[in-house]
Amino acid sequence: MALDFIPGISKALIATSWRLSTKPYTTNDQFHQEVVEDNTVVVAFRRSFLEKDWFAPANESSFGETKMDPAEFPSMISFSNDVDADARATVNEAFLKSLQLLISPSCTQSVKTLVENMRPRRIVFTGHSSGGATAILAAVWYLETFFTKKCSDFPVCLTFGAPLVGDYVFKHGLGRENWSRLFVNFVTRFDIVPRIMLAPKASTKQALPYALSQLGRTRAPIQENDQTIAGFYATVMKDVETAARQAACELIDGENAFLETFSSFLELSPYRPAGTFVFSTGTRFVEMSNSDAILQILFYAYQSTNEQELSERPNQSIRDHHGYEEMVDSMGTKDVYQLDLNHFLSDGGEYALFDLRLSTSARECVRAAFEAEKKRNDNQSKIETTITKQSTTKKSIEEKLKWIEEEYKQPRCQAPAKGYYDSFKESNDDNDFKANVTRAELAGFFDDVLGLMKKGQLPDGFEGDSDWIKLATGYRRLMEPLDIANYYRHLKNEDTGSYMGKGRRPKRYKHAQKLDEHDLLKSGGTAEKIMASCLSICFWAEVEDLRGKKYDEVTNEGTVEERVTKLENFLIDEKVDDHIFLEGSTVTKWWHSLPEHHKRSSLLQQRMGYTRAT
Amino acid sequence: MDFSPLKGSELGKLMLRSGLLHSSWNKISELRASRAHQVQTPGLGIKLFQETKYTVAVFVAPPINITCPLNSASTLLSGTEEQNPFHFLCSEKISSFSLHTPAFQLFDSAYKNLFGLKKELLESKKPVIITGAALGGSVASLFTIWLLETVEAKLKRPLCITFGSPLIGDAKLQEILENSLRNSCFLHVAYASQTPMKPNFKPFGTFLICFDSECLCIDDPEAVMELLGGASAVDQIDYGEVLDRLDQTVMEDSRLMIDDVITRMEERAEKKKVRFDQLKKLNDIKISMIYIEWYKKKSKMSKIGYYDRFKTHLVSSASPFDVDIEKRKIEVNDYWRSLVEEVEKKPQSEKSVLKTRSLFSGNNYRRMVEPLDIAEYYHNGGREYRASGRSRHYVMLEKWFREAYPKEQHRGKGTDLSELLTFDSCFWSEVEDALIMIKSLNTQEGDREALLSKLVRFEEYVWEMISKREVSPEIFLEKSSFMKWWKEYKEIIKGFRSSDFTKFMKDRMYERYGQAC
Repeated sequence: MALDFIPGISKALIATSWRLSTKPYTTNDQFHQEVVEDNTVVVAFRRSFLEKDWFAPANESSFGETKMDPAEFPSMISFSNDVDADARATVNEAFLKSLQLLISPSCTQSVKTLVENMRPRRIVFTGHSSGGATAILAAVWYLETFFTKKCSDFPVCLTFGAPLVGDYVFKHGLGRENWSRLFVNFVTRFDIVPRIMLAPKASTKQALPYALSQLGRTRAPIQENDQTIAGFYATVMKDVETAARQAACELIDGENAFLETFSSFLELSPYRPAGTFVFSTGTRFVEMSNSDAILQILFYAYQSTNEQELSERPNQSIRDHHGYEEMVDSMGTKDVYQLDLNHFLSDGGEYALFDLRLSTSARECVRAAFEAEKKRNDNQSKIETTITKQSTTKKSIEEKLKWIEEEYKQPRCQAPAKGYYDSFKESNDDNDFKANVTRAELAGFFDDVLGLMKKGQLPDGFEGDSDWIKLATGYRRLMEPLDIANYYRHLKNEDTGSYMGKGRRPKRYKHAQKLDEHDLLKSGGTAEKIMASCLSICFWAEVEDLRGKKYDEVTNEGTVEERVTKLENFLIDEKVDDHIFLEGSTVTKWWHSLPEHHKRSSLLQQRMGYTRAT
Repeated sequence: MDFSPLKGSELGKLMLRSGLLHSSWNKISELRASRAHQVQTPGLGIKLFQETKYTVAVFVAPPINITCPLNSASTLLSGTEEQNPFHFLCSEKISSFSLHTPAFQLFDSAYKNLFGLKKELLESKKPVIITGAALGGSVASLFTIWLLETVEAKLKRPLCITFGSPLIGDAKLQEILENSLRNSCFLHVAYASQTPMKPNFKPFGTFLICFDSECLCIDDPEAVMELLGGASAVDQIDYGEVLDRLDQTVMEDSRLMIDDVITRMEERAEKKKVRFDQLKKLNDIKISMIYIEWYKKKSKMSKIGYYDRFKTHLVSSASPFDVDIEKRKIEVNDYWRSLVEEVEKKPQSEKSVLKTRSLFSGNNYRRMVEPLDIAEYYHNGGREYRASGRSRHYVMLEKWFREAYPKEQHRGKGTDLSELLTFDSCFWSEVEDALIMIKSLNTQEGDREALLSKLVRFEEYVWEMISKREVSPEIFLEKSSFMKWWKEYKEIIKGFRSSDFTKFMKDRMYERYGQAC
């Protein structure tokens, strides 16, 4: 089998990447570059075996982690985890700092300048050990900075024995943007480096500088029976075990409250594998991209029940950390086995895992990881069926939206009607009732989908899918006014306050709005445009809130006068639908109820057909 | 909620390899050793260990005297806070439970010390582990329950780890805890063949059941009882050794031969799941409510009001819409009845489980649907609904809503009330009772004066609601029972009573009631 996991990545390119990743530095340079083949540039980052380059010295968190700045990395967040507060990705601070140094304007050898000069050539980011970690972050930065939807020549990131860099959100963000496929991590079986970040700083602190220096020595082998090294490896693997076992328990039963209590007493690493991993098992390569399964393999592939074998592990591990030359050389001659969901379901991974000698329970944990993936895929196909296919008893989601748009909204948005907002609010005929039932059915569907996203029970890519964003945005624009109408019809504002107040607006809309905003941002939308996209629906709630207020009142959100002016400006500047100004519409009625002196100088006069009272 | 053998063994391995069990046991041994040279140490030994990541409270108790008659005795706890330190556990359904007497006595004897410890641990910034072996573990469990007086999903929860401790409570205690987050705070390590079972006691929390070279982590109380048992040499087991031995074998593949226990456990988990899934129809309930809302609107358009329409169709033949509404009423009633039942099982200190949103939709449901139940009740010849006909779930929903919102927001002066649901969901039963009184007056049954003064009281009750804008304008619809009452009442009081209310009605001021200004 050929190396076909990344189209267009040849064996020669991988070999060049490896060579460049390990090429010595004579200056203070932080990376090497080389133009290869016809249109590709390889950028390899410098590795370091100094503790400060692995754990940022001033960082006080247990795993040296920090949050990514959404201004710089707008995709590295989760929209569904907590709709009210974006969950930002967590990454290792030391690795992030090494990237930031290279992209800062003051940097003499700047990656930024380099890639700007090299575009539109394809760029391969690569590195060995900690250099691989920098390469991963550099590739993410490059994607975030230059890759809107229009671009075609995506970069690639190849790492050799790189430590884990980011957490679940990081992995989720890459998956949502469909970038995961661009990251390929080569890992030799016993290499400790991809496992190190699963151990808390505190448990390895003492031995880490020494262990790193040993890893950095490419020539002289370490002494047998080096107790410090043996202790270091045992500690790391114990923490890897805890991380893997805890993850396995969550895969098997994620809603177990006891597991939650118990886990809060463990120091669990936030870091998770992201992208594709290619393990060398001796006789073949195993390629995987299921993050949960990779985590299990990182633990079980190192394990042994044999004391003698275990005592040899540190030496093997150090050898393996430099064993990528051999791995690269044997590419093309050894088999590549894709351990993905389909293969696993057909043969239980028997063939791929043979060399790793996994125990039955280890295989069951790997199986649990794939079953979770299967469940995510099944959930997705179920949703897609509900969207498009009509069942005997129920109309599809698309049909429902179409009915609302064409049969309900349009006839009500032409004079002498009042607009569909007010028609729905009054609900006097059978179709208003029908629209209300449809509203609830659609809400049920979108709530269910959001619930699945929140629990991570859909593939990462689902949220980033442009068809889904289109559907959710269309749904929000069409249906949210009806939810607002329903809210104020039932006087819920008198019970719990404004629709836009904390905890009132349904999460399904907040989430759909975030996806839409993110989409606009990625396609180069300006901040104003993004703001307007939100307001274009929610102004209904603002109108309702202002209706109940006196003109000279002062509210928490500013004086009523200010709010009125702001709203008017919005109605003038933005292309809002004409039906909003129909006679009998809430907006029109509200505007006419404003004090005469306001109306006299209002910019909406014309729109509202205002004639000055004499 | 599901059970699989893999889950049991993987959880077990995680517990074992986490190091938490070893370090807890070591501290118990340390404290036991330090007390061993003291001549006689009756009562409880407690020591706090401050670790870097967490605080550990260790409980050591004198050995359990197996010949002591108290060993299997239990103490019944009920009543108020003064009589029962675990008062907060009681729910609407369960007001008492029994505890293992020796454990409770030890707990009670050290109450003062424990009070200080509780305060200290509640203020601890680090997470808290509470541990003990044998009877010491029982007291640790009791103390943990006591510490968990306030428990919230978002707060960090303590963890109680016991080693070979006898069961401490009866089935009622288990039932209370099963419905509480508290259940997730207990890990009982027990050696399978040497943990005695006592009749009438039932385990709670999670058990790590140790066999010679395997362990299994389960939380199904029936399965725990099936797997534990045997002799009662509780105090002699060195769990340090047990854990070490298991640690050696944990990577090996071996499987327990307890398939029958596991099969039964899976069956129970399946049943529980079915019960849980039935409750997950919230969106269907919302849709049914929309139908009922529409029914109300349609009735209003035909000038009858949904209460009277429902009442009428019970008598005469009904349209398919009416029949459908009757079905939907049953559906939403079932939903809320079982939801209220679930909440009632929760310990009283955890009732905030009924989230704000459910509180409001429960309140909305009560005001919308209870009138239909009232119609049915009086149609079947019932009287005095509020006192003797009301379903418990309505009472509870109203009570919880009142507790959370003692003063409901008044409707604004300018607010359009056309969609308002009458605040007092029993309003129509008052109307029915008033109608019955009028009938009695007309047929000259009963004490005329008493009946009259009751009717006046009803009038005042209605007037108060009108002035506070708490009643739906639909009561004034032409064909409504309320208007029927008014017509008859007007005749009865003719000539001797006038009030703001009678003026309001006679001058037809109600026609403008509830309109937006």
